[in-house]
Amino acid sequence: MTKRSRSTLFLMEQAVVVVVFAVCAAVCAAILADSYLLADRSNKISSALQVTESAAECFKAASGDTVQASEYLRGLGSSSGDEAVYYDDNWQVCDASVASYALTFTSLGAETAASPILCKISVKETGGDEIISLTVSARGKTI
Amino acid sequence: MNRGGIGVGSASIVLVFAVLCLSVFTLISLSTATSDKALTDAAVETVTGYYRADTLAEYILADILAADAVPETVRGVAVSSVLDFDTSASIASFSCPISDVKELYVEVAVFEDTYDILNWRMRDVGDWSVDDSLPVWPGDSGDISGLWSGEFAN
Repeated sequence: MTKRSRSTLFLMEQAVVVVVFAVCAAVCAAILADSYLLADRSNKISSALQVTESAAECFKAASGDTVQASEYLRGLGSSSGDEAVYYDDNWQVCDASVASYALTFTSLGAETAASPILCKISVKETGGDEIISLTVSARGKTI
Repeated sequence: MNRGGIGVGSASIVLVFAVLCLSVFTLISLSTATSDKALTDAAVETVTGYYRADTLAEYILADILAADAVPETVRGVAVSSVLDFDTSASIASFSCPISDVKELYVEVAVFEDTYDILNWRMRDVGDWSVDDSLPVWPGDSGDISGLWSGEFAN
């Protein structure tokens, strides 16, 4: 085999290797991106579920008073009168101006005075889709 | 034979190794993400089921308290009641399903003008069997001979 034909073969192999690697890398990059998005979504849902559970227990502790429940959720001394609680990227309570997520209480009322009070608790990305929602009930103060 | 340089075929070997590594890490990443998603979905299902059962239990409790006597069935759920002669209270109990293997068990003592929650807890209802295939230590009163062959430190 001459030196020239060996070089041609080597260059052809290099070209084939680059093409095959590029195709494999593209496929793997797409799968990795999907995995990242899936993991990110799971992480968001998991964190949202935790704050939703906390909110549900605060709602029950407040006997169905959504404003008081949101104050319980924000922490001691908070009395903004707002039924929404805002969270930053790390799921720490923050102001609405820097929030990434918002938890809202939507009171659904009660059938009768003796019936439990229903409330829909939902967590949304600010200006985005709803991540999770939960309907909870609380025993009113009259029961 | 190419002496002193990169031979024909070595690039293919490197390619195979690189693609293999890339594929393995990609599959591990995808597998982890899928497992996380399944776990999160299961957690969401459990929490949603619990609060659905909790809401049903609250309605049943309200109906029991509004009734003159403890009814046998409330909102499709069987309610059992016994009379506590010591306190003159009716002890009502019922269970609301959370999932196939869990339920919310509620027990309440109903007095003439008040009530007392005795139980409000999630409990397992699925079948389970004892697995004694592992030679675990049975406790202080058990015999550990044969389970361990080391020596005690002073």
